[in-house]
Amino acid sequence: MNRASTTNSKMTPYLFILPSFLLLIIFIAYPIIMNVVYSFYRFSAITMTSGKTFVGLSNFAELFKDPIVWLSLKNNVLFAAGSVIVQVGGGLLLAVFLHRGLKHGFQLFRTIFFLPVVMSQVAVGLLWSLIYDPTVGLVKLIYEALGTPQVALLGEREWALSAVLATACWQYTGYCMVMILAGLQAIPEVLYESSKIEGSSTIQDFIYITLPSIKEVLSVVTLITVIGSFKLFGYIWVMTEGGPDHATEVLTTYLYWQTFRLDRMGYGSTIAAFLFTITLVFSVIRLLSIWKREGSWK
Amino acid sequence: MKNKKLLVLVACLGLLAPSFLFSGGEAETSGPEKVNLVWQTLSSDLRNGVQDEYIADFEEKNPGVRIDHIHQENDTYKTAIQVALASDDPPDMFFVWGDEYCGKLVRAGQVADLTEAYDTPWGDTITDATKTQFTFGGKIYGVPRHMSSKYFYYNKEHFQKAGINEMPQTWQEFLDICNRLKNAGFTPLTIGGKDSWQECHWISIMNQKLMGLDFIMDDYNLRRDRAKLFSDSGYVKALQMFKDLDTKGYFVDNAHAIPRHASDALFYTGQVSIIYSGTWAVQIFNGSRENTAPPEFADKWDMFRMPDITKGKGDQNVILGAADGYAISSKTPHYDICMDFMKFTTNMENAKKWAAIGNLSSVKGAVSADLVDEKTAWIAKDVATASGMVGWMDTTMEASVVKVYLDGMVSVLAGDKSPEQVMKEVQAQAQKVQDEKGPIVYK
Repeated sequence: MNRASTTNSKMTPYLFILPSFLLLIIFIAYPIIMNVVYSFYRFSAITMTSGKTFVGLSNFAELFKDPIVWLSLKNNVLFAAGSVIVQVGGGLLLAVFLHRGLKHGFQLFRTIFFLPVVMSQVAVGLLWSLIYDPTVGLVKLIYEALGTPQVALLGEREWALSAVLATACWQYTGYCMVMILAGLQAIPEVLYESSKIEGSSTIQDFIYITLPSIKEVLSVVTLITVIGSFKLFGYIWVMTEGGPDHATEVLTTYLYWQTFRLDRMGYGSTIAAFLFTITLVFSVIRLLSIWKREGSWK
Repeated sequence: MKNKKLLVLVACLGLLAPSFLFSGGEAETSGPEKVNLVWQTLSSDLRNGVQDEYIADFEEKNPGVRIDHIHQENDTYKTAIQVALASDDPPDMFFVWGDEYCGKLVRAGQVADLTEAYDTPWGDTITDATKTQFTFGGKIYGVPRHMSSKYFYYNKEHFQKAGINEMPQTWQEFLDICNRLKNAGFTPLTIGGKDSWQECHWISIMNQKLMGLDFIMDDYNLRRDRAKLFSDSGYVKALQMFKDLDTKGYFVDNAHAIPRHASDALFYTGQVSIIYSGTWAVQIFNGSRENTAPPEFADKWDMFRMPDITKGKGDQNVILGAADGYAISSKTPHYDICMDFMKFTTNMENAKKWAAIGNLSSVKGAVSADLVDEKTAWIAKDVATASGMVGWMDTTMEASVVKVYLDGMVSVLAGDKSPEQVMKEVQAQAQKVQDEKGPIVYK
């Protein structure tokens, strides 16, 4: 093989990744960069062709002073915390139960718990809105059966976010469960057998064998859940539109309002840049953890 | 080897090709007489049917003209049209709500001035009240297609059982009626308060009745002195009167958390006696639309106007309502054909088709008793006796101010905030917007 063809054969892999690379540049990188550029301008969508006003950092100054941004961020954090506790925690318990506690019907239960995951967020949001409906919902029947005054869950500031969180947990706990289950199935059975010979209890098995073995899976599932909580939009938009009075406002819904309803394209871009930075941090953490585990970035 | 490399290159280009192929503009047309227009509208099955009929008829009469009808549901439309208008190639004609919604497009130079067209005989066929909602700075920028208003719908059986024979003429009489219904064991009122535009409609007309149209418009358009913006006690009073209906137990429980459709259902299933609803609800309550009231409910209800607030400063004969219609893009190179099409959709024959599906057509004389149901005919007559119209607040006020106001109304109904607190927040937002953009004026 001569030198030219060696060079060419080195080029071939790059040619193969070129289409995806170009698509990534056009549809991911370019919009992200333009979003950051737009965040330094003030402009309206309906007058976009007639120009934008450069406002420097004033959108960012407004962002840091805007109480609704901080309220939205707080809601995102609460949602993430709740999701991790219920979805990852619940998923772990379900996975352990299915893996070690269940003698029959393993596949049936795994399918049942996983089923909600395949539904769209909008459909699930609408379904749960009906369940919570204070006039016709299932929740109304429960309150009536209990004989207590009804709380309109999606309409009360104190309850609305928890009600949406419960919906997300119903849908995604099964997803966490399946991920963790895959981790559990990879643990060599011999570890449990030898611990049994040593006379360890089930709880000791869980703490000293199961948890350390699925540490990596748990961290990945947790990160996915946290990132998902910051990208949350569908449920909120369908169920409450961020209301009542911003009680369920999250960064994505607030940026949607600012951008498309109030026609503040520049400020909307600023919120998007802020949100992007947050999710980027979590993504980097996730990548770093993978690199650390694998020992090299390759 | 070379062939393989060529193959790889071709494969790469092949993968990329679709994105380039389909990113181009519209297809070339062969002759100058061929015109492609885009008409973007708000969808509903009934309305889409009639609009498609207009297109087919117009295309038949105007060979060479092709109109693409794009339509979206309400929420999607609001976003989609904004994105479409931001492009260099916006739709030639598109749906607009009247008042501030159209006004902001006028200020942005997005819509064509149609004033000249109104100087023709066709202009006189459109009712004045609907024209005013598209008039800015003395010029007309839209073709109204129909108007909507809002009435109290009541359950006749409930009224009879509570011994109510007279419809209320004053707010006090209205409160008395609610009280009598409550004492007779009925829940007097419902509202789909989870959808904040429901509260907004009550407050829109109450503000007008308490303070007067010209007065409130100076606040809504941010034209008042900074310190005095939204400072009139009438604003707090309107919210308070509204909240009192809840405090007195006239509204259904959890009114602030009920979705609009559920609220409608509470009325047409006889669980609540009165609902304040739009003229579009006639078809819901007489069961002529699918999945609405049972047919037997059609005879069980009637309507009355919101009564006078006796000491209010506003003209009590002004009703709540708004027109919507179409605008022509200022960027279209086919203004004349667009205007011809707009006139075509509002000629008497086509206006009657629009009225026949339950719309209060903006064309004079199009809504006749032989075409529409008894209730719609009554509304058409009643609207004609009104001395004016105040629009929905969410289309007459600057968007970020009204967002604070709307959220505030829900909070008042939920008991989370006081009317004073809400109006302070509204004032602060109004002042902020006035500082940034100045008052809303038209050249």
